[in-house]
Amino acid sequence: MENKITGAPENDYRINTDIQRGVEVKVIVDGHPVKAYEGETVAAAILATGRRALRTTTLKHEMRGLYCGIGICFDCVMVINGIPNIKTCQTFVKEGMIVESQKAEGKWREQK
Amino acid sequence: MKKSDNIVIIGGGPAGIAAAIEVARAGAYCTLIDEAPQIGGQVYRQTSKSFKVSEKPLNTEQLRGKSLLAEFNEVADHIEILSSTSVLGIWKNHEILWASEGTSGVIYADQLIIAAGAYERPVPFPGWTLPGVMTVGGVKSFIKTMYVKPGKRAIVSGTGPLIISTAISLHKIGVEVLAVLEAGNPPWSSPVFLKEWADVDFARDIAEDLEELKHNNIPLLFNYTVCEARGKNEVTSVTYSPVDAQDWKPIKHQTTTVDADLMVVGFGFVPNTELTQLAGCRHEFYQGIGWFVLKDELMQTSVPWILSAGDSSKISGAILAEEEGRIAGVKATESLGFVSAHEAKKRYEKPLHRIRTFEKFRNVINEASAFRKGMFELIRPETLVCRCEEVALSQVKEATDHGVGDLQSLKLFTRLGMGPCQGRNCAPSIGEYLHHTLDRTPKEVGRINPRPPVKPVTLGVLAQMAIEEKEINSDSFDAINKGGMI
Repeated sequence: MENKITGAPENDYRINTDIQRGVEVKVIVDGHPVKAYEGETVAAAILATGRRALRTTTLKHEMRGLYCGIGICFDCVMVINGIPNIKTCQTFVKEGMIVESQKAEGKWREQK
Repeated sequence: MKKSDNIVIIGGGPAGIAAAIEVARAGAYCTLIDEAPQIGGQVYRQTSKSFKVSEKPLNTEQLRGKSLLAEFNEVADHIEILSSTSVLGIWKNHEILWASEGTSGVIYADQLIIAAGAYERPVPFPGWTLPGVMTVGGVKSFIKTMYVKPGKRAIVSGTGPLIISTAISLHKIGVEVLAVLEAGNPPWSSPVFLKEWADVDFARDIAEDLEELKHNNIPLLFNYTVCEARGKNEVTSVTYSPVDAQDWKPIKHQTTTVDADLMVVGFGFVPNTELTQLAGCRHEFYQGIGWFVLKDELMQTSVPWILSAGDSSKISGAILAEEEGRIAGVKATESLGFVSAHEAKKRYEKPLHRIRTFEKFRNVINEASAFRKGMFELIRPETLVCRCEEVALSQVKEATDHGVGDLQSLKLFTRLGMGPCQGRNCAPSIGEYLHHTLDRTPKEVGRINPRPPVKPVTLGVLAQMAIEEKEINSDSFDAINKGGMI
C-alpha cells in the first residue's frame, strides 16, 4: 500500500485557528491510510476527510453516520482492530489502528 | 475510606462535579463515575489533553465551566474519578455494577447521587437516519472538542436556546448556516424578552446569542421545522416548512427545499432515567417533556439512599444542574453525619435561592419547548421510528391495529427498543405517539423497562471483574443472567 494520505489539505475539514493538535498518527480506514492526530476520535478523523457514512445497517443496508455524538445512539459504530460495534465518537485514534466500515452486525476477526 | 461512608456520584457533568465539590468540602470522600475520558459532561466538555487551545476570550458559559472545574481541582484529592466508565446496573443492596475499557467491577454506595444528564429528544422525520443528520448537542460538543467541521452548509432545526448557540458555533468555524428553524414561539421571540428576564443570567446568555445571530445575518424563523432530509448516502438537501403555532403541524404546501449537507436537529432533551428506574425510584410524567424522577427540594428520590440532581431528573440546563448538584452533595454528607443539620441548612441556602429565582424561567422555557403532537405528521409509513432495529411507522401501526397499546408490548411485537440504544431514541417519541393516537394515558402506554446491563457490554468484560472486588454479592450476577443479556 502506498503512503497516500486521504484527506489532503483541500479536503480537510479541520479548523486550524486557535488550536494546536497532538502528535500526527496514521490510521488505516478501509485499507487506506488516513492522517489523524492524537486526541481525535476515530469519528473526527474520518469526518475530517469529508466522509460521513460509517456503516451500513442490517435490514435495509442503509448508510449511517455520526448522529448523537455522545455515545448513546450506536449509529457511528465501526470495526476497530477486528472488534465490531465500537463507538467511533468515543474512541480515540492510535497509531496503526485498523478501522473498517461495519456491515450489519459486523464480524469479529479472530484474535491471536 | 470506611466502607460505611461510601458516597458514589454517577455523572461528571455540572451536577456531578458540583456534588463532588460539596462532598469534599464537608470533609468526606467520594467516587465519581463518568462515561467520558475527562469530566465536564456535555456542556463543559473539555478539549482532549493532546490539544493545545490558544487562550481567547471565553463566553459566559465557558467561564462558568472553567470556574467550576477550578473549584473541583482544588478538592480533587477527596475525589476518586472512574472515567470512561459506564454504570450497568444498580441493586437494592446498594451495589453498583460498572464497566470500563475491558474490565468491570462492583462498588458499594451508602449514598448514591445520580446525575446522569439528559440526551436529545428523538423526533423522527423522513431522512433523519441519513449521515449528515446530527443532534445539536452532538454537533456542539464535536466542534468544541475536535475542531472539525461536520459539514459545509447547514440547516439547524428544533426548539429551545441550544439551536441558537449551536448555529453560532457552526458559523464561527466557517460552516454556512442557511437558517435556524424554531418550531415554537419561545419567550425570546418577544422584543421585550431581556427586559422581562433581566435578572436571570441564562436569559442574558440567550439574548447575547440572539444578538450574535442577527449580527451575522443568520435567519431565525419562528414556527418553522425541518420536514425532510434527502440524499442517497448522505444528506444533500433539506426541506422545511412553517408549522401551526398551536400544535406544530407542518404546513406542507409551503415547503422550501435547499441544498445542504448538514441537518442539525434539537427538539429539547429527555432526562436519562434508566438508572433511577432501575434503582426503583418513583417517576412522573409531564406532558410534552416525558418521564422524570420524582424528588424533593433536597434532591431526595423515593429511595432513601438515592439522590438525583441535574437534567437526569428535570431538564433545566447547566446552571441549575450545578446548584442541584451542590444540594445533593451537602445532603449526602448530612445523611452520613459529616455535617450537622444546622450547617447543612446554611449550605442549602444559596443554591436553593438560585433555583427558586430560576424556577419561573425554567417553566416558561419548558412550556415553550414542550413537544407538540403536530410533529407526528412528518412521519411517513416507511420512516424509521426505531433507528437500531429499523422499525418503520407502518409496523407500529400494524401492531396498534392488532390491539397493542403500550411500549412494552410494542417492543415484543416489533423489536422497537430492542437494539443497542435500548429504546433511548425511540421510546420517548413513540410513547407520545401512542399516547396521542390511541388516546391512552402515559401510564397505560408505560415505558420500556431498562434492565442491567443498561449499556451493551461483552461477557468477556463482565468476566474481567476487578480482583479487589472479590466479595461481591452473587445476586448481581443472577440479576444479569435474568436481565436483558440474551
